[in-house]
Amino acid sequence: MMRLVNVTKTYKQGSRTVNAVRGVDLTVPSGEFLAIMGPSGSGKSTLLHLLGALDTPTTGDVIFQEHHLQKMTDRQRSLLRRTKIGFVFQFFNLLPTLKGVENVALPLLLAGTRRKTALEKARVSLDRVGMGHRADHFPEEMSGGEMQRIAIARALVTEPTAILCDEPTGNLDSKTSREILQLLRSLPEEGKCSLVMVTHDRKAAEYGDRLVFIQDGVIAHEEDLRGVGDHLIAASA
Amino acid sequence: MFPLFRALVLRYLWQRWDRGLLVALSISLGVATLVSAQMLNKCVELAAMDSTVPADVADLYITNGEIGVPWSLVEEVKKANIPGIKRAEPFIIERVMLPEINGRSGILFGTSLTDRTPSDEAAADKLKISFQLVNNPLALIGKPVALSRRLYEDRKKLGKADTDPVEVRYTNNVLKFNLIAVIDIPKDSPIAPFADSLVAMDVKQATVLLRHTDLPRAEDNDRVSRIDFFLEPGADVHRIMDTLQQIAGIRSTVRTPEENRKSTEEVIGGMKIVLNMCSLGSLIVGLFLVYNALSVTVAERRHDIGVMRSLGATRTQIASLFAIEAMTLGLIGAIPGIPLGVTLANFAIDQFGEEFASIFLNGDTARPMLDRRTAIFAIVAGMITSLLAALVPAMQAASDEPADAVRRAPSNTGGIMRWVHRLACVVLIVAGLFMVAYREHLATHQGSLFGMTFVLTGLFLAMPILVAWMARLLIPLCRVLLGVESRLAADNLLRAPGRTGVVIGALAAGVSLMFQTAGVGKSHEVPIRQWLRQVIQADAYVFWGNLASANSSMTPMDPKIADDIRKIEGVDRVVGLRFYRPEFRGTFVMVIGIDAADYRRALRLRMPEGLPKLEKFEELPTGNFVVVSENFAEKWKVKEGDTIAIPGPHGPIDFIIKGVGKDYTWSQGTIFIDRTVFSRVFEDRLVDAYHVFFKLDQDREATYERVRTYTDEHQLLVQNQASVQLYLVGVVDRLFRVAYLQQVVVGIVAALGVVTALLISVLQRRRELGLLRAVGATQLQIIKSVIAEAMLMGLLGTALGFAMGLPMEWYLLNVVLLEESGFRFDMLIPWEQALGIGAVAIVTSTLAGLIPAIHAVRLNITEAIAYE
Repeated sequence: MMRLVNVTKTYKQGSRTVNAVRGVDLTVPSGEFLAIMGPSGSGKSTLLHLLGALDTPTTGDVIFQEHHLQKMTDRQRSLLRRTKIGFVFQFFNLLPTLKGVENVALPLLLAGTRRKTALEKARVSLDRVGMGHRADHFPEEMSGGEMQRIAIARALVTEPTAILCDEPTGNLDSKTSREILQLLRSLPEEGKCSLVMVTHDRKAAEYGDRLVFIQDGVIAHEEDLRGVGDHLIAASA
Repeated sequence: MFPLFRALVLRYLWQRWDRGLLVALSISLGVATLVSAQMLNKCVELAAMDSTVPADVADLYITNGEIGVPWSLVEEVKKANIPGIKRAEPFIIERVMLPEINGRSGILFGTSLTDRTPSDEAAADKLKISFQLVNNPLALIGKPVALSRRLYEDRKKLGKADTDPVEVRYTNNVLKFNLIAVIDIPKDSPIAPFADSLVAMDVKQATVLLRHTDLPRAEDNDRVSRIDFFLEPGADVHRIMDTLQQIAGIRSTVRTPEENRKSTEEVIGGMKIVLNMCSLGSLIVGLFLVYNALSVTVAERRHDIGVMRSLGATRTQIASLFAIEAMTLGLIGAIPGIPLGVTLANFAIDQFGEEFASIFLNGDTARPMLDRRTAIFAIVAGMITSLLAALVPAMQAASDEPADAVRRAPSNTGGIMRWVHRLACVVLIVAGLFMVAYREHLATHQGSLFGMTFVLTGLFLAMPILVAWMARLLIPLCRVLLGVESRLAADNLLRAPGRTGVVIGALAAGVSLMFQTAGVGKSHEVPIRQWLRQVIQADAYVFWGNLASANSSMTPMDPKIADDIRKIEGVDRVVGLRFYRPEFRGTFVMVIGIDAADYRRALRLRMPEGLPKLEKFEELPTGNFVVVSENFAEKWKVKEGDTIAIPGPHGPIDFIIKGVGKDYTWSQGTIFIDRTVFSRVFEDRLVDAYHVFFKLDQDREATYERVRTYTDEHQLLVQNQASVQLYLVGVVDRLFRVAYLQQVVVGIVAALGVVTALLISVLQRRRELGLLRAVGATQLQIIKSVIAEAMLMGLLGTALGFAMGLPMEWYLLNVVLLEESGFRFDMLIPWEQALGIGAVAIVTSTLAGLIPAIHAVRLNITEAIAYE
């Protein structure tokens, strides 16, 4: 479970102070697929970064499975990201110099896993997202959808308890987007893994269990989406 | 860590090999200069040590510089039977000639050869040599001699049998010896440098060969080069030294091996420091270029770093990866840098083969050798340089917030780093100035040279700040005078002073070093050539050996030769010169015994205006008077009327300074004594060179031919005035050629930096260049913009280089060299060379812009615009 308690985040942009998040309270239970929507600059990505221990709040409390992130050292947060959190980004963020399988194995290599073991686990993860056949290709040889599947395989390889996606379909065509969302939908599992996805797209958000709408750094409203996206899932299938 | 290193670093280097190659090349050149400097230093040091302290295996020595130790002292010491001394052995080392082996020169060792005891064997063990007896029954009855294996083989090739006598010549003394043994000298022997030329004989026989037979009761004046003492284990060294010094009195000095080496180190210390500073300079320039390349690598991979951080990489892991990457590049660069350094060192030694052979006893065999320690040192230096260069970029990479890096927000670390940067510049410059100001309180050379290094490093580090200022000044000028391409280029300089500043700094360092070398060269060359024209006035120069050795005391001639030459028709005056390098205040100075009055009169005829010091020469024969060189007076703080003491055969001899004059013979100072006085007080009548002046009204060519006939008959050599001048000017030229070579290496490193910086600039400006193309810029306009940036960098680098080079030249002339040698030179500005250096720097940097310019026009517009 992840919780934000009265969280604010401000940062400097040149001489301007930006209040990206202002007093947000949010809970993401285990097994939930939470969608976050909002216009550009509303603070949704900052919220995701706070949940994923990429950033620390200016005030308030971020709790990740009983860990208070702001009380943790940078190293402890790094280890938490490495073992408990998987990220999926809009621009895939694969390292261009590594093959698909090496990109997937990267979190394991960072954890000190032997190369051979890491690559074996990475191949299993690639098979899970249907990308086993592209394991030895470089990112530049892949389509957007393929790169995003590789990124999802990388997020899954450490068997995290939270997967955080930042506009995962923002750079994909509609057919590929549906495939990716279908894949993401299959990941959250009660007691094991929750998923938080930031998106601009209402249709994409409907794949989730719940929608939080952010505006000007605060939660404007929430919607329960259980059952709403069933038609989309059925169509994709 | 290795799998991570393999996956991230090696793969990146493999794919971005061009960038890695430039970094490795910069390190290679830096390491090459370091290796060559180390090898040259070691080679000169070994050659000098082998010449001044050959076969350095004893526990104590009694020495007296070149004049030697009287034989009588050998007997007194032996008779004293001092407890703790296992053995006292007189030792002679001298250069001799072997007429029967094509007149080649050999190195004579006079030592105990026939009455060897078990303790003598211990000394031989220390030398690691072995003797192989030859089948020659005559050796048992005659004067025995042993030859090194190489000499023996050469002699054999000429058809000489073991029973044939071995001829050895010193001046006009030619003695015949019987071969008793062949000496095998392994490569690790302390006397290995003499393996090609060793002639060993009993010390008493050696004194006979070297005896000045023209002196009355010549045998009373027999001398040895030194006395070696081998002590009993646990002997009280200090007590033995005190006792020996009491016996030697003022005639000689008792020394430990360390003290013995120190005087030699003093003479070559300056040269060693200059060579080390050059290599240090190259490495520093290389360091900044590696820093530049790695900074950009970090900037380029910032997003990737963010991704890795989001996947759980710790700061330490990120910093370690960059540090390992840098060290890998350092290793890749250092390995080829070693053979390159060996080539540079050999080239430098080849330039001075003759002079080297004439200065040092083993000079003809001394070659720069690469030992394992130097190779390891070079590799470690290359890797550490890269590591140091990577520290700041690696820390920057690690300190970035992952969220900022992932969303490509500007880094927050810039502000702190900017202040750290400024502080580092100020600290380095101020510390350097303090070291220079208080150099008298620091060890020799440390204040003047290290202070300068600190100031230059600080200025170099401050270059981005200076470049930003200069670019700000340039932009309005570009707006008025130049087209849009140049304005964009100037804007780019201002926007990225960190990147371009380092390269401009490297270029400025290269230009300033070359300018300073050219300036120092010109400031030396002009007065030295003028001085050579003044002193090389004789019509013929007679010597034995070669031109290089004519200026040393290695190949002396009989004084009677002067009488013979004087009798040749057309000869007016014959001036003999004898060189002697005694120890003076902890170092070696040059004493020249010269027929002073004759010399003055001969020169006066050819130079009616005269020379200030020359007039004083007339007074020299009248007593213990000397004229000293200006650098001697400056270095040792003496003036006309002062008394100086020079070691003589029976103790120090006082001389009164009668005059001070210009002379560039010796870096530690020169003392002129009349040769008659010299012969009397130093008991040495030999002559190293004769300056022969012809009668002005006679046919010079005919007289020269007559002198040549005489020298041919007596196995001597003769040269005319033009060839001697040409030779000496050549020596000066070669000296500066080696200095220029070092600076050219720095220049190449700087040019490599320009290519790196511009390639990086194109990468950084990819989006901007794509936008320019999208809004209608032609390929030519893009090329012009990139090349304009390169040219601007060249211009700024050259301007800053000249601005730094001028004070550096002044500093070197008036502080470093003045302190080192006492030579005072007027500062001359090398206008012609400066023009050439400036043109080469600007053209090189402009040409370096071509590769990135071509890269820029190949950009795919849509990709470039999409690129963040």
